[in-house]
Amino acid sequence: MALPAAVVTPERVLVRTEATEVHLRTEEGEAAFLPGHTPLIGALVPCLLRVVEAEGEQRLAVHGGFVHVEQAGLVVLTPVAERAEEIDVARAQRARERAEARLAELRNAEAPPEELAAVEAALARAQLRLEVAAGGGPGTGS
Amino acid sequence: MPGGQERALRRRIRSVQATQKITRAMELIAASQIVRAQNRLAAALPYQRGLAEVLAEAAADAGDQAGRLLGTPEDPRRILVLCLVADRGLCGGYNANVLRATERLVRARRQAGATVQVVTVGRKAPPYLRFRRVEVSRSFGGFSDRPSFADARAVAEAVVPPFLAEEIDQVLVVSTRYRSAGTQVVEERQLLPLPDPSADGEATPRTPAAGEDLPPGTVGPEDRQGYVEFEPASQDLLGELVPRYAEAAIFGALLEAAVSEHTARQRAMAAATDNAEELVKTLTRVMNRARQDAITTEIMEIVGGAEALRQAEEAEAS
Repeated sequence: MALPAAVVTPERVLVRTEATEVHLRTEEGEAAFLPGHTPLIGALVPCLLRVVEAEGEQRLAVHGGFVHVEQAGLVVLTPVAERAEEIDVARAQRARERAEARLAELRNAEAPPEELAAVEAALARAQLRLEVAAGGGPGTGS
Repeated sequence: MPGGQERALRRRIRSVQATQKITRAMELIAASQIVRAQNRLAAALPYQRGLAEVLAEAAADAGDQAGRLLGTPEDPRRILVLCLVADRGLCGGYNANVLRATERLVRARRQAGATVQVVTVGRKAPPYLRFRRVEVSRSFGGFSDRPSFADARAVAEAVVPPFLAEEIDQVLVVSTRYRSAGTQVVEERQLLPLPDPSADGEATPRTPAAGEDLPPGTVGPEDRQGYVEFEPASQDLLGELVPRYAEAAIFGALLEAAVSEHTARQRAMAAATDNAEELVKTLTRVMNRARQDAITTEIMEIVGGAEALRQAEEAEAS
């Protein structure tokens, strides 16, 4: 039995397949979905999304959004998602360095919390991209 | 001097023809952009519908606990109006229609005693509104013909946080909706609070055309009978849904506005090209008549001159 799964972003439908398992992270923690899961709506945290298919799997970095499971299948609605193989590692690395430098600067200067949060979010995004591109990241070992 | 009028007309015809070439080129460009913009609009649909379904489920579960995030406020005192127009003109009444509707809305709400802030997208908006003494608190520009989701997010950043911080009671959008190739309508609708899905009809996302193949979870409300788990609980989920949904709704509105803009421009430029054609025809007729008149006058002069010479010769001979 297969689980129809889709990853949908505002600009296009990124993934559409018959999956055997889907792994992701909601605010409550790691979650895995098999065919026939009970209906659920969850808010995602930025995480590695693994769509396991009969042959191989698709790996994506998703930056927040929602997962909606119903009888007809599973859909991940996310503002930003990237396939692992499409991630620009060099760029993510530069972004991480930049964010780290800025963060150190802001911590010393007692910056406003919003600005700090924005830089921290940028750092988290860069880290997630690097982890997903490297093939590691949280949620791989299952 | 004969021929002077003709030369002036010839110059005018050439100038009209040059303009016609420009309008024809703009028409063709707009026509190709329409298709592009339509595809982008269609590609954005699954996300919007997916979020609408999540919203419907969460709203049904949260019930009264949704509070001010859902429904229509009874007496909004602080209103934010978001107005979407084009960056450029030469698109018929497209900009003017939206801007006039915005101005009317702002004045009506002010009269009713509300404070109204205006945020605009499109470079054509601020000059029009400022001239009419409607101050614009924030304006965006440079992407009206090809909005990306990042642009929509930037706009949402200016609109959603004030609502969540309870500085604003209601956010309204004035923009052009794309009904079909033939009809685009200026419409004002409420962006925030989110539309209550239990109220009749899902107003916001467009229904898919027959044969459109959508992923699961974005097809339509299947019978909501079963029990749905929420992580986090539905009222907290609504809090997270509001900014995402608003972003998607703004993106959808921007895309619809872009299609409408290109359609309006194509129509305006087609009309301009036709008018130029007409004008060239009329001017050519006037020019031909002027040339004939000039030729007739010249012949008359020659004949007259010859006749005078002949008469003079006859007088001498007799």
